[in-house]
Amino acid sequence: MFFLPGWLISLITFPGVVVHEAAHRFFCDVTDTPVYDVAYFRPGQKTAGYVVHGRPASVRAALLISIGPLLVNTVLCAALTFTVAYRILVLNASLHDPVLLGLAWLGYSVGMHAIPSRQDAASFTSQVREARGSGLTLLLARALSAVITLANALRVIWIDALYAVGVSLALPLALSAL
Amino acid sequence: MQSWAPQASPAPPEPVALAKHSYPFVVVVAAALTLAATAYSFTRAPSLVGAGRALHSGQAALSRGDYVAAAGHLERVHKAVPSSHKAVVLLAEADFGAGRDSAGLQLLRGVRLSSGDWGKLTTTMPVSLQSLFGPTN
Repeated sequence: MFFLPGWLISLITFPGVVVHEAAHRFFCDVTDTPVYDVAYFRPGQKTAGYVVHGRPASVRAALLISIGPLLVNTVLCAALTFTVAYRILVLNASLHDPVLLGLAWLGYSVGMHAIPSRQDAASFTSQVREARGSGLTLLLARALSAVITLANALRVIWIDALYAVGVSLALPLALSAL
Repeated sequence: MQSWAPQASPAPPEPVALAKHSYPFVVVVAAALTLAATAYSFTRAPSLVGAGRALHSGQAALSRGDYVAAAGHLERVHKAVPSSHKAVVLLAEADFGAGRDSAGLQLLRGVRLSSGDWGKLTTTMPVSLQSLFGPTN
């Protein structure tokens, strides 16, 4: 297995960190959740970025804030890498154009930071508990939390990179199958 | 005379919330660049998808043995994405099949062919031309 320190991965893929934190911040603003502090990117730190926010008004708001980066980073990754992935996968074309290389770097960087962090999952689960969520809501929260925790544990096998590649290939594959 | 009385410790200050949608200039610029890049990627999508469909049509025509129609479809792919190795090989195959040997040879100039590519090309390439190609390391 190929290991790289987290801070180095964050440095190489810093646009993804910025988009991840900006997505948290955006969904805090949209759901009227107060934000006290934001770091969009801190090079060389263990935690490359963070958003300190108040208690969301509802479980739905907490869910949006927690999975906001998953939605935003995934959509942007699919859109940014489409040109590159379609050329390689469907047309078997080479990739020498610097603009396309730039798009690939940006798109995969954004995609690699789509998966919410353990902290995002913990924050959402505690919000559900505080709101005395029960039944389906609590079940969904726990399932989501478990998936995110598992995904974070699988970072050692580059699950975040595999996710970005999978997202980039999905649309070209679907279109070529039509 | 002065006397000192213990004072109640002040309450911790309320944290101040940041103004809504107040993003640093650098983040706004980064977002604008990211959206511009996304738009650029999408403006290329229609021509790429069109090329992909033409590639499918070209392959279907080749499998029917309709080399002239295949060449028409594959030329469109080659024009849209000149670096497409698949389009080059299939177009050369169609050109040889349609009797346009010089066009096929011209396309293959400087192209490294895999054994799979060679297997496809030799279905239509005249035997006399096959001797012009040799294995490389």
